[in-house]
Amino acid sequence: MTEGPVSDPQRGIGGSGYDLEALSAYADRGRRPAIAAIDGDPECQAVLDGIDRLGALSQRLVAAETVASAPDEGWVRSLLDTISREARAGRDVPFPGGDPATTIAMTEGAIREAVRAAGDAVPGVLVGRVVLRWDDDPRDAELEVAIAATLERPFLATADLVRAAVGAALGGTPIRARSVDVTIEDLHLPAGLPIDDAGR
Amino acid sequence: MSFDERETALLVDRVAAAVAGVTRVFASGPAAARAARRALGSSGPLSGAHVTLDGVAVEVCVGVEGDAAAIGAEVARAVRAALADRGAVEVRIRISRVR
Repeated sequence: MTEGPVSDPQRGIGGSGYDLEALSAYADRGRRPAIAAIDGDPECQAVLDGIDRLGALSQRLVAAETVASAPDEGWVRSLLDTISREARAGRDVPFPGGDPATTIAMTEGAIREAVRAAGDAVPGVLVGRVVLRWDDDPRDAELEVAIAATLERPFLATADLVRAAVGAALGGTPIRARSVDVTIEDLHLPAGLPIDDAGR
Repeated sequence: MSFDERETALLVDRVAAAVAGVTRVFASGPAAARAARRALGSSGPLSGAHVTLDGVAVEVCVGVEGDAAAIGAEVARAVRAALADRGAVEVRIRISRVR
């Protein structure tokens, strides 16, 4: 495990010189002492916020005995890998209009993070993967959101809540989605519920 | 980055950071340029804005809270006003975080 900067300062998340392990350690320390290369990098900030939301949800679920145990370590690692991959800036998506000498654009990473944050804000939901697709026109995009959810409400109701939250978040971006597909890929089972009763 | 470019970048940083709704000015430009500015930052203020060598193009990378398009337009207007005495300037606002 590395907790300091990686050897090449242009590598690491967002070119900050710090990898996921280092960011996890930084989050564990409450982001203290402050590291300018991390605090000044939007991709690192997106990953840190994802780590914080994951930690908060895990604690909340276990404290409320909503689930039998904290999420599996391998699953958490996989989710953090996905978050750090999707935090990459990617393409710049311009807002329409304006004068030719001025460009106002939002990065794909910022859009995915807005979607992720909106989905994570739905109680009992943690967004696993955000896929944005469009050909020529970002105002005619397709969005896929894979989530992990608890069984505290019917699946369709959870999907509807996520779809509504994500749709609202996209309103502040240059993306317009003609479809938002929500897939529940993981379930966090309630404490004491036999596996068979959960339909697995 | 030359002294003038650095001064310009710091000016742009300050102007962008002062716009309502801007939560942060991030390092902008190619990875190599960002790394170079980080290295410079160890001995002075760290500039986030990226100014091209000829000084005619400026890129600012910001985090915002609120109406991203409107805040971005206001940042562009403020930057353009601050650089008005430098002739034609291409301004690129890159929104990298939104709440």
